[in-house]
Amino acid sequence: MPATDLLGERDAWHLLRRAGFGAHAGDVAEFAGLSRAEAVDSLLAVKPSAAQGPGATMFGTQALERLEIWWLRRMASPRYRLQEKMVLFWHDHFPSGVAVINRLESLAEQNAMFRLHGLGPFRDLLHQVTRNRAMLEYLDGRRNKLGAVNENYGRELMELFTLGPRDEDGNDNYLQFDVRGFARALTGFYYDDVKKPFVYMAETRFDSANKIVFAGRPFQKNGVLGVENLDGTSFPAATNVLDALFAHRDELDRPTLARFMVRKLWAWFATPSCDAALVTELTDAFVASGYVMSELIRTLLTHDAFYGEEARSATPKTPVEFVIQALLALGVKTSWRELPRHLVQMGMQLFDPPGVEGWQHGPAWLAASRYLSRMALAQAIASGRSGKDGFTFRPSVPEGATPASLVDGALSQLGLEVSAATRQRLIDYLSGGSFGSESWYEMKLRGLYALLLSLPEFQIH
Amino acid sequence: MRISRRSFLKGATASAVLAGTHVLGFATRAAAAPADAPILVLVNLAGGNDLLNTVIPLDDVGAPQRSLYQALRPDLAVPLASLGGLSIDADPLLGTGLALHPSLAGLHSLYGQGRLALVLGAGIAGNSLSHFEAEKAWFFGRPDVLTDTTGWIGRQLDLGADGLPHSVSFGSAVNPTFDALLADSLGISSIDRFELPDDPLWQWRDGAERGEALRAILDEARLGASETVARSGRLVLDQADFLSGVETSGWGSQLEADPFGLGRDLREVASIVRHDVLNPGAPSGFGFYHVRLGGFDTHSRQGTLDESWGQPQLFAQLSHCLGGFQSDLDAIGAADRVVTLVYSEFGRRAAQNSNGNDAGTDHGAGGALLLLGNRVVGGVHGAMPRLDQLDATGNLAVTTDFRTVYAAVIDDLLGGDHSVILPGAPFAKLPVIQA
Repeated sequence: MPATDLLGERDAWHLLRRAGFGAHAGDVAEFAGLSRAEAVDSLLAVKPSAAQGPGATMFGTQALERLEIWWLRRMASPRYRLQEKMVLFWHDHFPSGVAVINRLESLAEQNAMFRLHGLGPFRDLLHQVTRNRAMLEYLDGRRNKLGAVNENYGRELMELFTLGPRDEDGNDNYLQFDVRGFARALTGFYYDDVKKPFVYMAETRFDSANKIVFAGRPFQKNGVLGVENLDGTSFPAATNVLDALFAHRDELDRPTLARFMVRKLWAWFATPSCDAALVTELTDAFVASGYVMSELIRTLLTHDAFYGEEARSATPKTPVEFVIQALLALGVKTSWRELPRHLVQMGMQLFDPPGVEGWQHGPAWLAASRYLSRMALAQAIASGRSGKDGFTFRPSVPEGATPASLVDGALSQLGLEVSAATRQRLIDYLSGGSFGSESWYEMKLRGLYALLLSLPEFQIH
Repeated sequence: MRISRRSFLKGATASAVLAGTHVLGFATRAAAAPADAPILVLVNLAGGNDLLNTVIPLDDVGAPQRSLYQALRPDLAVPLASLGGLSIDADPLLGTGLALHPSLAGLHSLYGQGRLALVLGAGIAGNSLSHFEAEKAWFFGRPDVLTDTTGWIGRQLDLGADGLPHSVSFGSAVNPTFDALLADSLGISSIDRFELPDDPLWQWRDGAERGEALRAILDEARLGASETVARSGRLVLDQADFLSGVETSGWGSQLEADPFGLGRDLREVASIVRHDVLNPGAPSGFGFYHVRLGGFDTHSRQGTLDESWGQPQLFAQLSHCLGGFQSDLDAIGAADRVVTLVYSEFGRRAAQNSNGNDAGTDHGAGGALLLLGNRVVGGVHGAMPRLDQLDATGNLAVTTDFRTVYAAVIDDLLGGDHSVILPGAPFAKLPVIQA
């Protein structure tokens, strides 16, 4: 095994921030020294779980906050970190939210479905999503029926969930004709809230005529890929239409869906841009595995490129990552009560994505209001002395500490690297005023942590 | 405990003055934004607003518009009986009678005053019916949207970049219309919330020192990704101090009772404009605003007349908010400077997709664009797409390239040159702005 395959401390921080929601320095130390494969194996050693948060049949702010808190606590648990990182990915990829769905129970159910299938075969997940109550409501699938075709889910299924509108050279991946074909093939899924609150295929609502999709595309040997629904009565009818997505190939005869998902996963775990050769390499592994998500993730998280400079320290953290990383690294105790409110202000209310495209990642997370809200949360966490504002944080002061040693200690506690000039500013801040006098001491130290969590370097990873 | 939260920001601002770099000195602001400078307010109806139930055909003059409208939309067609007193000028091309939706009555009175321009069939040819591709075309002012680029207003701002932000987006993230290579842009959720809460450490009087330290660190950041973040951080510190001086309520706004949403956002826009009118020596420097109203993606339950749900509910809100905003501008004495441009990524399918209350419409093409203000040329512009000439997907044609409106706004409102802003220029300007 090459020496470079062993995780250094810096690699361990990187892995635990990206594959989870951060870590405590002690946790980092346990990962440092492992090989990449050992480390990733241990993150993936989590059983599929059907754990479901508390839902309610009617929407209410308190019920929503209970569900959010239930999920946030799981995210912060080291055991579930990668599983929950993927649940969050899927919530962003296949969004549904309270803006459309009153029944919180449906959202809790969808969230549990992501937990159960999120690391397994993508094909299974896509089936689950297609027959999921929250999604059938969010994108009108349950209103899509014979004679009243609703294109909403059929279009977004291709555009946002599996293929993307165009390939890398700008060629259309599908046409309006295909959107119609998909929408028709997906008719008939139905549930109602009272009598039959489970999803079933309503025969009379199903358009059983054959549909043709992706007609005339180069990958079609005989010119058409008919989406045949032989009896029109059961889920296997939809199996065919979803298979068409896996069969789709771009103008260069490459698997469109796999490349699309690889790019999205790379952006989620590493950085938005992905070199074309790397896309191909990861795509090959993904296809060879039978589209198993955990196998793609294993390849990705052990790849040299994931540990390269381009893949780290350049991506704004999501608000959820920002806050849980801070809590874990600093060992902050929290009632979690205040976090839903802070997340709204930072621009990321769970179970309420802004639209079918999910959250806008990148610099948008640090628009003025949102960055200001991070500064406010940094202040609340750092000053949490008695849990009054929801946080209890006790900075430790070793014997014989100096301003310089305290700054260095706090930086390594957070796994932060800053410039020499910034380090000096922090030392100067800590030394200013009446450093050393007992009553000012703790205040200054808390102020230092508020500053650290507000630094540009802590907003990105 | 106002003093507490102020101290951090005061510290941050005071040290900036000493550093002399990123200071928003009032003299600089004033030079950058003369008191008679034009102001553009962009209102995005997100999701794709349905043209045919915004501007409704009344008869079959020139083409069977009314008959086909009713045939295509048995459950969604607004009945003639509900359209009394809402008619506007006839379609410029066909001569068909037209009316505004009943829930847009407030806009109808602005139309009567010659302060509303309606651009019919607005869009861009070759729209793929994707929300995200279509809205990029509007944001960027160009049809080729494969890679993200700068916004059409962002490019205009770059031409005069002076290190100060001149644009504000409500809804917390910066709208891509303002994305620029040089010009910074402010994204806020609300002025009232743009403030640090009480500093729990205030009793130690530490805020100012901490603010100074952060300011210095942000000023010194010069490399890599953290520099981009630091830029945003400097903007936060600069603007928090300024915005806390803007009165957002209690001055008699018609939108005083709107605690959130479009009404609140437009009241806050009016509040900044008012602040600038009252403080000509220390203006905000802001000339461009972006606000958003979502919910127009009416694939189902679009609704026809009932204002408690669907598109009529959105229209009632829009009409109330735009009417209130225009009244506020009149009262402030700024109505001659401000033009409001209302846009949506596309219109919707001509035919309804289901029956009864479930009826909605899928993604479409030709849409409606609105301009409001004393500087607009009121009336009907462009042309209503013909319902007997739908395209192969059953959609309304795009009769008016929206770039012909952008060109008029750039040249005739902003005093710019659209040929350096809009790829594919020159465009024949649609005469929507009084020159």
